[in-house]
Amino acid sequence: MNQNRFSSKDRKMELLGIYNLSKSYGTEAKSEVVFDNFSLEINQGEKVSILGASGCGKTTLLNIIAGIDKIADPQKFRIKTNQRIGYMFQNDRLLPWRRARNNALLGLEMLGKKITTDHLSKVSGYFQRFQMNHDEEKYPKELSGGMRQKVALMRTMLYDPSILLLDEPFSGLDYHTKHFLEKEMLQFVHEKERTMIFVTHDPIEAIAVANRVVVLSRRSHNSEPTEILLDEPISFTSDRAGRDPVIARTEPEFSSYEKLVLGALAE
Amino acid sequence: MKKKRTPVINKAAVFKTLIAIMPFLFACLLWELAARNSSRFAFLFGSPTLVLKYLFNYICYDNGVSDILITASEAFSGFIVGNILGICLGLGLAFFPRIERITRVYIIMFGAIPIFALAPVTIMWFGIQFLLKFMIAMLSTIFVATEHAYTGAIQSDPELIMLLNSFGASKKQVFSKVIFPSSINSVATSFRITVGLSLVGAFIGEFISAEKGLGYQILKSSGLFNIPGVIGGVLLIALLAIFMRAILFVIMRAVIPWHYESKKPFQV
Repeated sequence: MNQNRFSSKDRKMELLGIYNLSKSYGTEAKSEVVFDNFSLEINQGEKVSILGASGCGKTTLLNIIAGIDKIADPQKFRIKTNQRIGYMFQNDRLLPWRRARNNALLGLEMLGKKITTDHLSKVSGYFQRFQMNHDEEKYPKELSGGMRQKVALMRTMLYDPSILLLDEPFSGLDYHTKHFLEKEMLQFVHEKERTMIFVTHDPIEAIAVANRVVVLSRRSHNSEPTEILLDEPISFTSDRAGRDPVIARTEPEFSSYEKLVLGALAE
Repeated sequence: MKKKRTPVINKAAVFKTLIAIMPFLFACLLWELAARNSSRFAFLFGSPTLVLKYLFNYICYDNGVSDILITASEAFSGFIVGNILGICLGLGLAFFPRIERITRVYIIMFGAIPIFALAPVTIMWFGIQFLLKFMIAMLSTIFVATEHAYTGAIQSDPELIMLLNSFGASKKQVFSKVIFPSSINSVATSFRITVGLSLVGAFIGEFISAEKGLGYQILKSSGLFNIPGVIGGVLLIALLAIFMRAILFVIMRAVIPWHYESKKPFQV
């Protein structure tokens, strides 16, 4: 990645930040400005949900953070040194020629680690925990959409990233699988004290999984650049709400956050 | 509760096979009747019984088996070497796009040359022995294999490449973990085409100059107006092609099982 990394000794610095970013798509003749002097900072340990309509640049933001989308001026994006970024996409992106177990191990392979029996035991443990005991040897073609996304989450967790980027990873899944994966993801983030950036279209999900909600918008039918309409910390009375989205949804504060977010989305 | 027995013979499969060969058997019946009714027809077109009689004598009392093995070895060796070289070339061009831009036009040009047009000259280059047939079979396959391997590599799923890039993968890792496996489906399709091409190449080589092989046998029969001999030789080549495809199918199903989960048999 070609981003400017700053020293972790400066404690006032955030974990990562986008500063006065301007980005557009298209040709010189016809370009569309997505960001114009856009800034966003993420602190270590935050669980940030990003909401917004299609085309407002949510995925672009994640791609910039992951280093997939390059920006002209590296100074506009800064990230603390030695961060490992794990990116979970909307579709599972499992390699069709690898069995489920080997797909889950892909992240570890990318770290240059030799796969040992300990790793294989760990993977088997994940398959058991995710209720896929008999599916390790199956190809992605033989798995349902929910099972494939479970394997994708295993892959991300085994990679053990310090920053998790999740781009609508649970959209299109059934209610039960979605909540199961949300809970597993939150437990991983909580236990390992990771930072999470979660993009979603679902305001309920956004509030349930995060401790900070950012709502993006492009006014005037996408002709204006994207701006932040709402940047709200989320806090529930119960500690367990931070690890279990079902409990979060039942918290008394939930409905007031929901009204706030829905009001911002309606603008 | 009694366990349901699995039938030894799959009646549906047997029925489907019978339906598939019915047109062939019907055509053979008409052919045989026509040949028995007209000696001129029998001279010009032979008959199923004459062809079978010829094949029986050829295989049991003549050089049938050795001719089949010779033609098969020429085709098979040309197929293997042509595909290995073609796949390496195709994948190499995908890995080095700058070289591909320079060499692309030459590959298209050489691939468009009908190798059989160069057949008379190949005798001077490669002699008249096994090497001639091998080279024609190999040259018949290499450019097709190159094209398929290259196309399969450059058509790799960009989302999977993005996934690897999100892990910070190097170009070599992206190539080995995504691009190369992605090209295998296209390479498997290339195998299906080049099996036939390598056989045709070996056959043409024997036509040009040979003392053994199915191509030589067909040429000899043709010169003697032995129509059953010609038809029999062609039939053996066709059966050889089916046999090679079957072997290929078995190998590829073991090597790329994910490709064959829902494919029909022989769909290499």
